Amino acid sequence: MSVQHWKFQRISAIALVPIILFSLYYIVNLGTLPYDQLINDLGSINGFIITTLFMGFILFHSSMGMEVIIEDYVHSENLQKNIVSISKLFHIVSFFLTITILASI
Amino acid sequence: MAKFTLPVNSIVKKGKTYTDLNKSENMLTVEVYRYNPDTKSNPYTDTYLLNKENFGPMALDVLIYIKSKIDPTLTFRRSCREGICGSCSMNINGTNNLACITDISDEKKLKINPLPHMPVIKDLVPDLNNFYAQYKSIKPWLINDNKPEREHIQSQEDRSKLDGLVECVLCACCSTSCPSYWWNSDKYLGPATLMHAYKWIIDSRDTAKEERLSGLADKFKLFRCHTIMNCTKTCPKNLNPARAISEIKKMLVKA
Repeated sequence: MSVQHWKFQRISAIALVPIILFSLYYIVNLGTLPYDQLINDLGSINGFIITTLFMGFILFHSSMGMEVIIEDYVHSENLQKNIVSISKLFHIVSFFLTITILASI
Repeated sequence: MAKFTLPVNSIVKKGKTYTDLNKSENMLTVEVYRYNPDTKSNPYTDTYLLNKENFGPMALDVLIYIKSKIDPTLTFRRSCREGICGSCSMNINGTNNLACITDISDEKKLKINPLPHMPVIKDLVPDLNNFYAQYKSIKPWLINDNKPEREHIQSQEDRSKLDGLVECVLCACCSTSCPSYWWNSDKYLGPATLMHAYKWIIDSRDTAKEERLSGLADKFKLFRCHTIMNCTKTCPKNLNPARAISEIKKMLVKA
């Protein structure tokens, strides 16, 4: 389990490199895009896939990272489990909120 | 929870100041952490203004001079005075090192503390019981049911794989420089122990590789290493515990 956790943290970090580079390029050019085109881009199937991948990998990586940080600092086992559960719930809810918002565009 | 402030009885206070009688232009200011559990008082820092001509060029020479000429109650571990025994590990000017191989000839000021984040027995002597128990937990001996008539034979190539690992003297400089070890020293094995574990894993004469690897596959024992690399930076023997830990992780992923 611990080995899988470590492995998926590395895989998600590597996957984030191209996704973040592309997203940064897009975000930097946001100011030059007309409002209608921006809405069209995000509402298109490609925009939906890229944004979902971006948020999915970020939240997945963040959830695993937060788990490690909580384990580092919170030594009470029960408190640690509870905070990790809250953190995971927060990340899952954030992901589904992202999808819901994207789908509503 | 991790503690972010010192308990009241751990706050370091200012101690006495001693000055060498034969002053010269080549003086050294030495601040030494002092703690005596018998007095039940807070730790304090004694300051010594010393003439460098009175002692040798290493930090251990300074401590031996203070103990023999100024204050015989100063307590520290030392033995070989040539970087082989690992006894005189301490924090010198903010970096863990062996006092016997720390050149202070260019220094004007020295701050000497015990190894960080360890319980202090007295002055510069930390309690290393937990460190040694962790070392024992990795079974630091050859496991091989074959009993050859003489020694276990190893090729020169296989032996060379152990270079950079066997030189470790278990001084604990690396482990006590690791923030992750500070936070979870009860569960995380620390860089020194893990480097020794790696040494046994890759030793061609040892037959317990799988058993050793599975024993380390734990989110606390091994995976508390966050690649901070203080261990490699501080190692007085210029070894690379961070690399050894990474190799164990890679082995576990491939297993």
